[in-house]
Amino acid sequence: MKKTIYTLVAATVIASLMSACSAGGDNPGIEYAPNMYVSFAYEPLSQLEEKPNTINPHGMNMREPVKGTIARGQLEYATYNMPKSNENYEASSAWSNPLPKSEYNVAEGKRLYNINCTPCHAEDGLGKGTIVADGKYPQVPAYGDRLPTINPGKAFYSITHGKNLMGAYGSVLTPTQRWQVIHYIYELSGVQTASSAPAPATN
Amino acid sequence: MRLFKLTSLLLLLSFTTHFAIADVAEGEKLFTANCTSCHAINEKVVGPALKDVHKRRDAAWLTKWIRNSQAMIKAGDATAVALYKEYNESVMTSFENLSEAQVNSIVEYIKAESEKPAAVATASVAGGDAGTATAVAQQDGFYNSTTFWGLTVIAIILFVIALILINIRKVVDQLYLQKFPEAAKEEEVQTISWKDRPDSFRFKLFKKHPVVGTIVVILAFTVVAGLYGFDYGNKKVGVQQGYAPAQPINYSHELHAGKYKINCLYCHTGADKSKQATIPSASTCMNCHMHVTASKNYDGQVSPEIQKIYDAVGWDATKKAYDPTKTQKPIKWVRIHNLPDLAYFNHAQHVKVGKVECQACHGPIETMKVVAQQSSLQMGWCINCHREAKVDVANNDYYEKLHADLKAQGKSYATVANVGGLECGKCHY
Repeated sequence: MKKTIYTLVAATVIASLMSACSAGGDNPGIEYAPNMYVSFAYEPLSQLEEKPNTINPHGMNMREPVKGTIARGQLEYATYNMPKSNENYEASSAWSNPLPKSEYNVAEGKRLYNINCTPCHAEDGLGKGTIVADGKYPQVPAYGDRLPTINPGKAFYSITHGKNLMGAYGSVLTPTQRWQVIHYIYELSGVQTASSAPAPATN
Repeated sequence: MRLFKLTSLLLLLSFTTHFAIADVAEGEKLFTANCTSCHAINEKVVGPALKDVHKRRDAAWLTKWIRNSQAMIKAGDATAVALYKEYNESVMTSFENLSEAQVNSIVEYIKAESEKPAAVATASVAGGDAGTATAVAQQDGFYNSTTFWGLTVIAIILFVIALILINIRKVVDQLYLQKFPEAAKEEEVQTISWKDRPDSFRFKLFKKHPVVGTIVVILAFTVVAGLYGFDYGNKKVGVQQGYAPAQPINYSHELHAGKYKINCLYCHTGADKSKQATIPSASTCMNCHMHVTASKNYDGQVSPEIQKIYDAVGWDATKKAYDPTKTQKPIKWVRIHNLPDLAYFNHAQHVKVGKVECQACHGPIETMKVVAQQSSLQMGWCINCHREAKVDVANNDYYEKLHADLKAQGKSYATVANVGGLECGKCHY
């Protein structure tokens, strides 16, 4: 009897000792030789509390781009880089879509549209996406109703900076991607623009 | 004659009421098509709440304002300028394409909506949402669940039963030996300790050669413990499978990715174009949460979890605008998938080129209230997939040349292993 109890107690102690080290909940488990696990160089998306960055502000590895810098491959879009203001919104109507309406651009626009826009605008562009349908967001205007009253330039501005209840997607979509999405929404709603003349099928 | 008058009057009446209803219906259609992205009847959205707007302003002013508010502001209309200033100088879209009759029908709809008792509609919505709110609030960790406590109670009961059974067996044994003394004798012969039987194996090992015995025991223990330790170290040390840390904001993938079907790439924008899938910046949250406050579940207050986003970005929920006086504080999300630095992994390669679903590695994320690491992220796990998973090379421009080469070698499909995915330098350099 005593023996069985001893065995049971020993087994429980060993089991609990062993299981205490495996990951679960807030416990990441034990780690051997963390110096091979943690990057010696600063990595923007991993940050250890015990290893604050001594160079960047706030001890953070991640930091904002230097003011005035333009991302690689976006030089020609510097002209569209206007701050948010009512005047710039009006001024944006002068812009037309610089991308040819090629098969690739429309298809890529469709892919991006289905990722970023459908929660509100819905796949058919009628403005009854999953969030709107659940009543979390008010009804979004259908493209067919709204697009004829604006033009691609204003659409580009609205995607970049947001408009009314729509958030800003300038940090999410590159300028090229924004123009591709614009090609697609015109295609989707069947609204014609002056600049959407058919172009050669290359990208 | 009198009858005719009466009927014509009735007809007229029915026509006018009919027209009024038609007006409201038409107005509702126009309202949802044009106005709801900024206005609601009972709450301030981007522009003011429109309840009783027909009492505040006269019809001519409203029509003028709706059709071109900027012209009125430029002309210096006092009310118009005051409104423009009050709402952070956001320009109301001009609806010059709406005819006067259409504008009237919108006002007619607002009038009808204003007269409706507002409480009924919101109460029913609040009732429906309160249930989900409590469900979300409940932490469903394993140790809090009834399953865990149920299992514990069952385990205790089983343990007690086992003890009782052991005792019963003992009593039965004793009774048996009392009843059959000859059996007891036999038992005694058998139960002579090995220490008194020189022919037994244990006697030879431990009594005759105690040193050898000790070494054998120590060796056996070392082998068993070593094997266990190796297995443990192999599967557990540095492996964070099951790691599910509490995050600074109680964000639920089940709600966002599951219920609302928001694409993974909506937030994790880097997954198809960079090494990192990236944690979204708080501005991505604000794309929806500048409007969605879940206040119906919290007595009209902003949900405390959503308030954390507002604190991080410096958003003023009552003014519906960013407050430049507030300092922005980044949210300290806890990273779950910590691939060691000695291995290189690139999301874009897998998502964009390999067209691997997120769930293939991350598990059913769209059902997780708290995200847990599903895969072990061990090398064996990587290699296994590189050996087995077929890559759709035929419909992928990236593999055009490779596909041709494979065809020439007579291989009908490609795994990552076929195209050099097992090279050490692929991931370790």
